[in-house]
Amino acid sequence: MAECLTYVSQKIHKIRWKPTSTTIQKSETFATGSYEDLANSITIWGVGHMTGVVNQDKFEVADLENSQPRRQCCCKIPGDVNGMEFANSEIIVAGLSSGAIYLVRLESQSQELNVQFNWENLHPYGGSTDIAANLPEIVSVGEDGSIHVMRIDSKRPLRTFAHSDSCPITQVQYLNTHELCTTNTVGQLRIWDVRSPTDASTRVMSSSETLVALRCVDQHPTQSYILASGGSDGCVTLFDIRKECSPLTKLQIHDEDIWELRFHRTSPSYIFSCSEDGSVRRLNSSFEMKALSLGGSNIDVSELVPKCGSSMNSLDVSGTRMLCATDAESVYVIDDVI
Amino acid sequence: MEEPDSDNANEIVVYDPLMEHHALHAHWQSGHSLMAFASTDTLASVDQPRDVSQHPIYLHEIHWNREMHSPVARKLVNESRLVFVGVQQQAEISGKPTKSQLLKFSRNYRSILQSCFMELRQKFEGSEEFDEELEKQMQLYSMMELIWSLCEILFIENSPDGTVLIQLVEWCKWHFPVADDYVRLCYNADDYGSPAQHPNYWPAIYTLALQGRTSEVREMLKLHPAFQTQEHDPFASIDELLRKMPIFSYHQSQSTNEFEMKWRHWHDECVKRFYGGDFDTMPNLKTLSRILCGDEGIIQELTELYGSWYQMLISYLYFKNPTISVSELHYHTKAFIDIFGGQSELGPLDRILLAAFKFDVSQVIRECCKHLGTWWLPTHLADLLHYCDLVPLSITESGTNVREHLIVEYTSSLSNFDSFWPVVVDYLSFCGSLSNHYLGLFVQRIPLSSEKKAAKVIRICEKRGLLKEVESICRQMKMKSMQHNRLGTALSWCIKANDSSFAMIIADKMLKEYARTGLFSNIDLIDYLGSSVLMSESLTFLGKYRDFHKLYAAEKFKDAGQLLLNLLMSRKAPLDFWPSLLMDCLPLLERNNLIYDVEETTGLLACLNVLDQKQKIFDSMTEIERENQEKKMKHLRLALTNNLAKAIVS
Repeated sequence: MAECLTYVSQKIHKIRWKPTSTTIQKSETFATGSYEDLANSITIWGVGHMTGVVNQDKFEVADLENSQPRRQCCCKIPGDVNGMEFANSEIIVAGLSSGAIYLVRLESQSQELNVQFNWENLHPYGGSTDIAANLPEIVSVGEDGSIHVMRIDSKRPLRTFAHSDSCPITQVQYLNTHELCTTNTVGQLRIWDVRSPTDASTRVMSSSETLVALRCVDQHPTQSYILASGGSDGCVTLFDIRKECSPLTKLQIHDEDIWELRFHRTSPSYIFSCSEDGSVRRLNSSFEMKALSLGGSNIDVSELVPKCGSSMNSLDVSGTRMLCATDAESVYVIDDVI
Repeated sequence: MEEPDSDNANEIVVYDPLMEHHALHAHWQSGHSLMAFASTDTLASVDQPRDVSQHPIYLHEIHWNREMHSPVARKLVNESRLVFVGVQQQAEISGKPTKSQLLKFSRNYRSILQSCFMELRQKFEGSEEFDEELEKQMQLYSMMELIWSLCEILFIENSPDGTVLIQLVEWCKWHFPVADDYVRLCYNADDYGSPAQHPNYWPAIYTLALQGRTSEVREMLKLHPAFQTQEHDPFASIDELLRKMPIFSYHQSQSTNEFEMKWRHWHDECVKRFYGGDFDTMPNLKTLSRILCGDEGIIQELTELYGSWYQMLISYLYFKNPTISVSELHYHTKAFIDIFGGQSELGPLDRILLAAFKFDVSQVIRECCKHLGTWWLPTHLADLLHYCDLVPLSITESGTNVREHLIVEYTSSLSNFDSFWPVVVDYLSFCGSLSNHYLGLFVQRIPLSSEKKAAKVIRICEKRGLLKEVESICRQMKMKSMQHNRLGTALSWCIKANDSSFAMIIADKMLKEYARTGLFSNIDLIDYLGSSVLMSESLTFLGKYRDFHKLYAAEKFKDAGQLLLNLLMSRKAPLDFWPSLLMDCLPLLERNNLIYDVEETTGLLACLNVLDQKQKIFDSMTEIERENQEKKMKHLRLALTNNLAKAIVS
């Protein structure tokens, strides 16, 4: 496993691979969104081919000279980047702590990053905490418990669930074209229907009796009824949304809050998680619901990055390469993670 | 107590139209900043009239020492934090790190300094215009690395007698590439034919020799035309001397005495050949041999080839007394300083290095603090030396530990910047006996800009047992939510902090809202509170009341009725809520099936009576509301009486 660590002089809150046109192609560009800085920005980086060289101890290590990510372009942003996604290979959407949503376009020819559109003051109290894109729609959730669904070409939100969650919403994901799922700080996983006339969620599932916050959620790429969410207690909770409200199973993976969880898009038996304890771990399971609910332990946990001394805020996986970003202003690029 | 140094004071001019007539006032802010403004209450001078014009009043923020936030400095801060924490953790595990572990940490720090320097240099060379700021930074980092490497050799490695000079010679070689520059000039010159004819040829050889690089000297000498023809004996002679120069190798387990004997033998041979006239025909070789003999006079002649007194000191000792111990180094420093102009000519770097040669650790730290302009070096160096037992326990008047004092100063310089707060927390956690006290103070000053940040800070406090601070943070977040009327969020903070009294206030507020509007604002939270609902009586009541609504919606009327009765009878409900509760009975009473029997109905009537007597509830209502209330109560009384009748009959 080749690993490369770079100090980028910015605290990174979100890191994302740029999507490639085919799944076989290796992504060589990624974006980072910074936070808690005097001047925050979204930056595009290029990473070359990670070659392995055999050192004198006969271990293969990354050829650091060629593997270090290089800064390509950046765009100043007036607020902490709390949520960031590539809506497609040219458009990045970002939810900011100022409560605004920014749409930034990456010009592939000129290698420039420009703000194309922005929605101001959607979340006046607490700012936006996460964003998800399913073009032409973009959804943003905030600390004020509101959900705003926007269309890419319209200034006014398409649909707003104003203060529909009593507590701050921590993450949002699109389940399909009209359904969203969100997690909040009292451990609830909720499903919302954008077409619904009422402002209430269609389903509420509680992950624990003791109101432990849920920080992130991701949907299984092929078995779309399976949702995995990470909590403040370091547990990964699996839900089967076809079944009743209680979670299917709960696994203690980390010691502290799990900030981000991702299913691998093409090999969905893997879940990657990163945590406040500074580590990145990988779960390997076939996600057979029957076996899981009976407590059968066909789950394998391995550590990809040991505790690095500061919080691991974000991760993204594409093919065999993983990116992760820490509070110590550093970025890891790791190859051969599956 | 030192007098404030007026020569070194920094001045900044603040432009503000109001200040023509009004005095400048300033207030300290946290970190290195001031807020300045023109005070309209005072006049700049007595005769000036008060300026009542429409000038806006400006607040000027003045800050200094912001260099810790440049991109390279941020890299330094973050990378060195890892090493610092590693040192502390090692100390916690094994009591005191071993010398080899300390050396490893020291080298880590140095490699960080070097990589920062390289990055700066790349930027400097890559930019089109001359950047003075970058150059200053480069100088700073190379100076820090120089100081650190010397301290590593003298204090941390602290080699046994005999080997320190070898290391110092290596140190010179790596940090002062003056000899390499000369050699490079010789090789690059095309217009001189061969390198040997370049005017810098002999200076190159001399400086190589002064740096103890005998094999390289031999290589250079071979380029001389006279050497190649082997006509002259002097070349062969000097080549032999250079080849046979004994170099003390610690690893070959040679004892110091053995080496000294060998060296003295060689030295005597050098002197013999010099006085024997071996080199009289070639004055340049004569000079070279005088260097090998450790002739003091040669030092004076070749002064311009040395950059500084410390290079001179090391060269001289290498050829005069190579097995000198660390403690004896400082006896020789004065002589060389005098050659370079004496004590008055010493610059900041010189003073720091002199203190190091004198083995005066506290002086080194003091000089670094005074001259370097950044707390990074003294803090990390003092920390490492503390584990070598070299840093004295107190130099400040208040009696605080040096290491602790430096860590606090360093973290103060970082706390200017919000993004460094986790770094500050890490350093303060390990600063000594007062760690928790400092941490407690710092944590209260971290701006809680978002829920996620508050969660992170709470996690850190919990890990370090700062429970009072956790409560304080929860309270702050709770009040912020209340200000924005986010009752649900505020309640979740109460639950986290186990604050039952405030939970009661929130529950009461929610109930009042229901009583007023007939709608619950935070059902999604209340319904899923789980065991937290038991935290406060009001909250439990609220939970049970919601249960009543759920039962009613599910058409379990009998159960709903029983629950409602329970709530009233147990007197758990707040008095202002009784009217609502009693009105909730009405739809149940109007049903065809009998929900309440005789006893129960009597109980309800009794409650109604109690309510009638408590006039104060109605005091807060308007005329219309009071009329409505009375109508409702009448209706209810009627319904209850009817129910009683039905119950008695059935």
